[in-house]
Amino acid sequence: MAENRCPMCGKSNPEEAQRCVFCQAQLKPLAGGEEPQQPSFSFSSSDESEWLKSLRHAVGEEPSFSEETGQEEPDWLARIRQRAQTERQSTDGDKNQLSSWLSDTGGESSAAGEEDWLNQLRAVTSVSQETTEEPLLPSQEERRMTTGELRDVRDRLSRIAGEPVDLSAGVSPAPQPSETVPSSAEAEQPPQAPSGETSDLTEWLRSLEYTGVEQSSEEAKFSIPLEESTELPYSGLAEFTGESELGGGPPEGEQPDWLRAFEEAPTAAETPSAPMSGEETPDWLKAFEEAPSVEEAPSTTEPASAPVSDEETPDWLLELAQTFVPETPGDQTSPFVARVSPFAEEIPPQVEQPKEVTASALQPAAQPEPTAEAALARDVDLTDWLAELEGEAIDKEAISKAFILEEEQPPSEELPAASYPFAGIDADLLGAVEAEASKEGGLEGLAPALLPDWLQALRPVEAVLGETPAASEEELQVERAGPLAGLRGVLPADRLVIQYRKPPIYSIKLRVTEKQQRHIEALSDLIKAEGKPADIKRENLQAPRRLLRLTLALILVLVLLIPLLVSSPSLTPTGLVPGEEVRSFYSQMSLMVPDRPLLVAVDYDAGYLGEMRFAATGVIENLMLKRQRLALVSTVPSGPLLANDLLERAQLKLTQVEPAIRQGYALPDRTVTLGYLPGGITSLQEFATFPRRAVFAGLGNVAGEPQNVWGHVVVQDVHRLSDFAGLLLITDRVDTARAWIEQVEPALERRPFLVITSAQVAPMLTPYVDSGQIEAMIWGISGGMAYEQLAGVPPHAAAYWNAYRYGMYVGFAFILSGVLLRSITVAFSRRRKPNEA
Amino acid sequence: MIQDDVIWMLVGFILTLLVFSYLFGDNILFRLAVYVFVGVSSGYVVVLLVDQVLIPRLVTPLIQGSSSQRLLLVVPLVLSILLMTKLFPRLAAFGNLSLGVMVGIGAAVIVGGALQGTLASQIMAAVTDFDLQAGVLKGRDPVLKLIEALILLVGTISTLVYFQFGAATKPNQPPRRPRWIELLAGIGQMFIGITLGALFAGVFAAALTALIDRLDFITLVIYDFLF
Repeated sequence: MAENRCPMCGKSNPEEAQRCVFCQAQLKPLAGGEEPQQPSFSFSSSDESEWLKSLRHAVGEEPSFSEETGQEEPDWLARIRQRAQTERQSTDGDKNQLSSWLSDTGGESSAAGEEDWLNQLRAVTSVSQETTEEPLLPSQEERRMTTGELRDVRDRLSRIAGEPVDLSAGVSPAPQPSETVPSSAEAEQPPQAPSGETSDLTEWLRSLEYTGVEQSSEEAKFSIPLEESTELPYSGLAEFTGESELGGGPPEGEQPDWLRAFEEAPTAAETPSAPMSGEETPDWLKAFEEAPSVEEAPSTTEPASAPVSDEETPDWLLELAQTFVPETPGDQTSPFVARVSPFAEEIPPQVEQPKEVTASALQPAAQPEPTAEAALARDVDLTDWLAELEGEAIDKEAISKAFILEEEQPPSEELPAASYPFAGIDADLLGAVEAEASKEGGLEGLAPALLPDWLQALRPVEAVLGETPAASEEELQVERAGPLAGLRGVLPADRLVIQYRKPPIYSIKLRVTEKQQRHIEALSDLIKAEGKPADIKRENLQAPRRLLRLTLALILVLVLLIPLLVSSPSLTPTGLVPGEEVRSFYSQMSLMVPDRPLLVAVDYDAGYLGEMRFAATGVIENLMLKRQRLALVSTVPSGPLLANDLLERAQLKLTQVEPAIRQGYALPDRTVTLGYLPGGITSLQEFATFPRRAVFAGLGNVAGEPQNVWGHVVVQDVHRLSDFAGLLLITDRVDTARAWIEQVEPALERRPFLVITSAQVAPMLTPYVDSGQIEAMIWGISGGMAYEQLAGVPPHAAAYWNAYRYGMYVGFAFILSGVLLRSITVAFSRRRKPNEA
Repeated sequence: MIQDDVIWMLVGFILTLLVFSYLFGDNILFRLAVYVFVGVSSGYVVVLLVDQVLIPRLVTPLIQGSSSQRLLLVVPLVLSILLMTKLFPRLAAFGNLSLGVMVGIGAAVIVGGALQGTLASQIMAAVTDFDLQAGVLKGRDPVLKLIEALILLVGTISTLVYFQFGAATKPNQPPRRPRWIELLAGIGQMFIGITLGALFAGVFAAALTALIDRLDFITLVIYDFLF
C-alpha cells in the first residue's frame, strides 16, 4: 500500500487518508468548495496499543459507566462500547486486517458522522496523549512517562504488597512512546466498569491527570468549560475506568493508605478547583501534578456541581480541560487543550474555540511552590510504605525530593507571536508543554550530587571553570520558543554575553624618556636627510674656476720665469741672512773628521728633487772640497739613484769653479753607495746594530757587476756606526727622519747627526733639534743658499732665490686676497639672508 | 752619451709639459704622464728588490752558502712563500703567519723607538727648557727663555688636552667636558692651527721650489735646443 507522508509530522499514512492519522493534518489539499472531511478514526485490532490490549485483557469486560454511576449513558459512549465489543470479538481472527479507520476513511459518510468524528476525536486525543511524542517536549514527555511509570510502580507495589492488580481501574502499563498510530478503535471502546478497587484507581488516576491549573479569565477561552462541553471527545481513561463523569475521585476512606501517599497535594490553586477538591491524591503522585499556577476558570472551579457537564463529558477530559488554562503571565496551558487545538475547526460548538495564541501563551507561568504541609504529609506516607517494604532507614528528604519536581519559571515577558517560529502552527501545544514544564507540582527537584573531595580534585579544569559560569539547574532558563522549547540550559546566549567581561585595555603607547626621544629625533633626522637630495649650490658664472686657475697659474709662472731669465745664477742673493740653525750646521760640518767616512742617508723622493737639490748641493760641494769620504745609503728604492745624481751634480758644479775637483775628488774612489735598506724601520734597527749585515749589495760597479761594498776603501774600516764621522740625513718626510732618529741616532755614540730636509718637514723636526737629538738642520732653498753663502761655495741657488722670493710674495698675495674676498662674500650673504627673511 | 742625455732631456721635457697640462684640468696627457711614472717606478722597484734583496740575500746564499746558512734561510723562504699566498683568496689564510711576523716585529720596533727616541727625549727636553742657567750659558736671556718654556709647555699641554674627548654624562643633558678642559682645548686648538699654518707654508714653499726647478729645466732645454 502506497504511503502518504504527513507534511506536518512526517509519519506515513494510508494513501486514501485525507487527514493524518496522528496529527490530523490535512494530507491532500482541498479543492474549491470542498469541505474538509471529518477525521475518522477507527482502530483495528492490529493497531491497538499494547497497553490498551493489556488493559482490555485485564479488564475482561466492557466498562459501563452507567452501571457505576447509574446515570444515563450517552449515545456516543454506547456506540463506542459496542464497537469495542465487536472488535474484541473479531480480534483473534482479524489481526492482519487493515485498520478499519483506514477503510472507513474514504467512504464514511453516515448520518452519524458528527458523532463518529467526536468519537474519533476522543480516541485520537486519548491515544495522542499516550502515543504522540513529537509535539511534546521532554518535560511533558517526562511527565507522561512519569505517569506511566507511576502506574508501573503502582502495579509493582501492589504486587509486592500482595494486592491484586486491578488493571480495570484504569491502570495500564506505560504507553510506548514510539507508537504513533492512534488506536481510535480502542479509544472508542468504552472501558469496562471498574470494580470498587478500580474506582479507587480511577480516582487517583483521575487526580493524576488533573493538573489543577488555575485559569484566569483570559485563558478561560482556551479551556473547555465543563458545563459547556456537553459533548467532549472521548475520554479514554474515564471510559476505561468505567466512569462517565468527570469530577471527584473515589470517596474518602476507600483509598488505600499507600495510595493516599501518592495523592497529589492540593495546592492553593487547586483547592478552588472543585473536581479535585474532595479527593486525596497520593503524595507521590502529587509531585507529578502540574503546578496550579493558572487559576481555573470560574466555570471549571465549581466542584461537581455541574451535573450537566459531569454527566456528558468524561471526568478525565474535564480534568484535563480544567488543567489547561489560556496563556497569561503566570499562567499555564494544559497539554489537553494544546492537543485539541489542531482540531479547532472540528471542535463541536460546545467546545470553545481557542483564541489566537499569544506570546504569553507560550511562556510558562509562575508556579507556586508546594506547601510544606503537603510535602510533610507526603513524606510521611511515602516513607512508611517504603519502610515496610525494605525495612531499613530511608532518607525521607531524599525520597520526597525524588518525587518533587522543582520547576521554577522565570518571569516571562510578552513577546509577539511572530517572533516564535512555530507560533502559528503548534502554539497551543507548545504552550501546553511549556505550561507543564513550568508547573510546580508536588515533586521537588533532585538535589545536586555531592562529589567527594578526591573526585572533585580529579575534575578537569575545563569542568571546574565550566561550572563557575554555568548556571545551576535552577538558573537555567527554559527555552520558550523554537524547536528547543521546553529545554533547559540550551543556547544561553544571553548568559554568555553576561559571563564575558570587558577585556582590559592596555595602553599601546610606549614609555619613552626624553633622552630616548632626542635620540629618536636625531635618528629620524638622519634618515630623512639620507633621502633628501643634497642641495647643489649653483656655480658662480662670474668667476669660473678654470679661468681663475689659469690666470693665477700664469701670473705665478711669469713671476718665476722673469727672475730666472733675467737674473744671473751667479748673483749673490740679497737679503739673505743665515740663521742660527745654518750656522750651527756649518760648524758641525767643520768639526767633522775627514779621516773617517761620512754616512749620508739619501731618503727623499724624486718629486722633491729640485728642493732637495737646492738644499743639499752646497753641503755636498763643501764636503767634496774638504775631500770627505762619503758612504751613501738609502731606505727608499730610488735613494741610491738620487744619491748618485746628487754627487754628480755637485761635482759638475765644482768643476765649473774648480776644474781640478774632478781629479781631486774622484767619485768612485771617494764615495761608495752601500745600497738599499729593505724593510723600512726594521732594517734601520739592523743597520744600527750590524751595518755590514744590513746592507752589502750596493749598486754594482760601472759594468753592473756586483761588488762587495764593505771592501771598498771608503768603508773597509767601518764595522759599526760609531766608526763613521757622522750621519747626514737628507729626507723630505717626517717618518723617515723620526725612524733614523729613534733607531740609528742612539748607535752613533755622540757622532753628529745632521739633517737636510724640506721646508714642509722642518717644523716637525725642530723639537728634535731642540732636544739635542739632531745636532743641526737646514731646510729648503733658503737654508741651502744660506749654507752656500757661509761655506763660500759657488752660489747655486742665488738665481733661484729671487724667483723663490717673488713667488712667495705672489703666493702670499693670492692667499690674502682670497681670504679677504671670502670674508666679504660671507658678510654680504649673511646680510642678505636676514633681509630676505 | 750625449745623445742619451739629450734623449732623456727631451723625455723629461715632454713629461714635464704633460704634467703642466693639469692646469687645464684632468686630461689624458696628464694621465699618461702619471701612468708612465707609476709604471717606471714599479719596474724600478721590482728590479731593485730582485737585485738588492732577493738575489744577494736569498738566492745566492741558498746556492753558494754553507749548510747553516741554508738552514737559516729556510725560514725566510717559507715565510716569503706563505706571504705570496695572500694573492689568492682561497689561500690567503696561509699568509697570515708571515704577515703576523712582519706586523709584530714592526710594532715592537716602532713602539720601542717611540718610547725611547721620542717620548722620553721630548719630555726631558720640555723639562730642560726651564733650566735657565743652561740658557744663560748659551747666551740666551733667561726671561725670554722662561717665556719660551712656558709657551712651549702650555702649547704642549693644551694640544694634548684638545685631543681628549672623554666627558661625563648627565641625565637629560648632552655629554660635555668640564669648563677648564674646554678652555685648555681651545688654547690647544689655537696652537694646532698655528702649526698647521706653518706646515702649509712649508708645503707651499716646497712646491714653489719644485716649480722653480721645473721652469728652470724647461728654459734650459729650450735654450739648449734653440741656441
